[in-house]
Amino acid sequence: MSPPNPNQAPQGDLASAQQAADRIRLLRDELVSEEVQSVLALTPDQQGRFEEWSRAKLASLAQQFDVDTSAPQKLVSWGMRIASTLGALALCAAVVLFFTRYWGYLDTPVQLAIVIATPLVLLAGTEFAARRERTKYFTSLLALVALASFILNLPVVGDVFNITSTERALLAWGAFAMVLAYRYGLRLMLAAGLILLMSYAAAAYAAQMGYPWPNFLDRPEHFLLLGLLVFALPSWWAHPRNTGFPPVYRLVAALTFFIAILSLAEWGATSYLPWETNNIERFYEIVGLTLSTAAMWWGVVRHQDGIVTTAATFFIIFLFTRLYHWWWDWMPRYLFFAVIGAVGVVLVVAFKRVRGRMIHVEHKVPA
Amino acid sequence: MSRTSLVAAAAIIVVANTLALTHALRNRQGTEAQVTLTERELRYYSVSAGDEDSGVTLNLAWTDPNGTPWPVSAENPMIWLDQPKLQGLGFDCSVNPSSPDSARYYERQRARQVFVALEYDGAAWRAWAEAYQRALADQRAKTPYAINVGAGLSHLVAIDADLNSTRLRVRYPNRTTVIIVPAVIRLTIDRLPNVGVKGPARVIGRIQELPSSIHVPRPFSDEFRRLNPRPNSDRPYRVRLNYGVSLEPRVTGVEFLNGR
Repeated sequence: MSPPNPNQAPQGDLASAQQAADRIRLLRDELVSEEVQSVLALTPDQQGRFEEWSRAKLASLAQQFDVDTSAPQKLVSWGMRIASTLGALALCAAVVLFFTRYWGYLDTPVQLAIVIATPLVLLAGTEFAARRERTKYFTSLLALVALASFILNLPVVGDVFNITSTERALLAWGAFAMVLAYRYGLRLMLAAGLILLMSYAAAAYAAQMGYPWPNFLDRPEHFLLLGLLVFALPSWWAHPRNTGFPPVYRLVAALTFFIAILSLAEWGATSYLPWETNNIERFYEIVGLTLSTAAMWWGVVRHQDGIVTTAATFFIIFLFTRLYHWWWDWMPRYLFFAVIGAVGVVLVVAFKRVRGRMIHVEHKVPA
Repeated sequence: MSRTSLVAAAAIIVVANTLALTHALRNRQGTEAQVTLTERELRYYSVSAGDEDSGVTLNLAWTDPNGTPWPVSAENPMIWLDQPKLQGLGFDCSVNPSSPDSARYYERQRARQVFVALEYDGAAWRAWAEAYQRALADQRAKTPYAINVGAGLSHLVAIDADLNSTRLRVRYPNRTTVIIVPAVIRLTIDRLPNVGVKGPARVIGRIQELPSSIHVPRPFSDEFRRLNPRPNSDRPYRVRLNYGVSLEPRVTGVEFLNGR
């Protein structure tokens, strides 16, 4: 059997290519370890062919997608990702503050020309960067600044003409962020777009019902529905070109959903439920605990790390909030924290048992 | 990469700006109201040296008879946004405000978007000022601790509200003294209208918010900016405002008067 052609174009996007590179790198490391060689000894010929193929495959992936082919490279890439995100946020602040500092000295047509042209110029810059680099650090940075300048653009036009603010600006910003996210495969931009579009949906409903749209956060139950909708979207909508997008959809949805429940558990008066405020708050605390446990289970079964982490964090928050409401007022502080510590120990023991059972099931030799 | 999504991204920016500019242009195609207000109604909060905003914004100040503090021993006779009016604006006031459930019921009613008529220096202001001075005199006769909060208040007084701005304009046709603006109204239970005043709890509405920031373009803004080295300058001024067909204001003239 002839070995597969390493120069064959890999399927999918940068995330898939990085996963393939990681698997090959791990396999290379394992095959040279003494323990594996004691049970799987390759002939020198096989070893040579695998070495040649894996080297060529990694080189091909690196050339096509600029993926990291070693552990140190991965660490440097993480640093670059953090630096580009922080740089983008700082640049966004700089653009806004620079404009605010000088706009009062400009005549209206000049003000308008600057705020309308800036996002267009930055969009062109993003496209230019995307065509020149495969890792998208500068593309991501410029796309974020383009979105920030578009977010600055509409309120400035509104201010100049004293236009009454409208929720439709959220739709324009959300649509812009989504288009950039899908064009350049940017996950941070996708998260921003989803948050803006969910906000628009809630604000449009508030305005439609005769309520002021800026108060769209007043009814967290809207965000429960929107969170569920966004969570379900990747099940209907495949992402062959952006394989990293479905986890972003689910993570944004889970955060939205659990923050809405937490808000209702703390301020029940904002609910649609026609019950006493205290009953609403207790109800949502129980819902929060139950659903965060269910989400943890779902995340474990489906191998969704982000969901497991988010659900576990909210499970702890719901639990500790409940304990706080029960005991903070009448219990001595030292005892309260001692109980919290004990609960933490119990949780660790419980999770350890669950993990032990999983290991047992996974390692059971089939009859 | 296909160019379609790139064109779509650019189109979103262009279309959003075109819609905003068209809206602004349409607002300027007619005059819904034209008023001249003073520094009492349009306040300029001078920026400090460290403030990085070079724009000039005036803040519209209004007097809401329902929300202005009243001398404590007298009932406020100027309540204009009462239960029947609030029901007409879409609020559900079916629960008796004196009942035990009323607090929970009314605290969960959301603020609503309506239109409000504000009258400048007219009969409403004079009636309010007279009633207030009478109540203040009564209070001062009983206790020396009566504070006059009425001095320096804006003469732009809220007089009526409706869900439809056209209906409101029909009721108040004077376009040089009455402006109509969108506003956010919130209701509240007035349990003990005032200390010493006996009466049942009642539901009243208050203006929570209305578009109060008014941008001053060049060249009018230059003179305001020159006030900056003297942050507490009391130099009086008059500002002419044109409210367009979309009820959005535009500064069309500024006149600085000699200092007091």
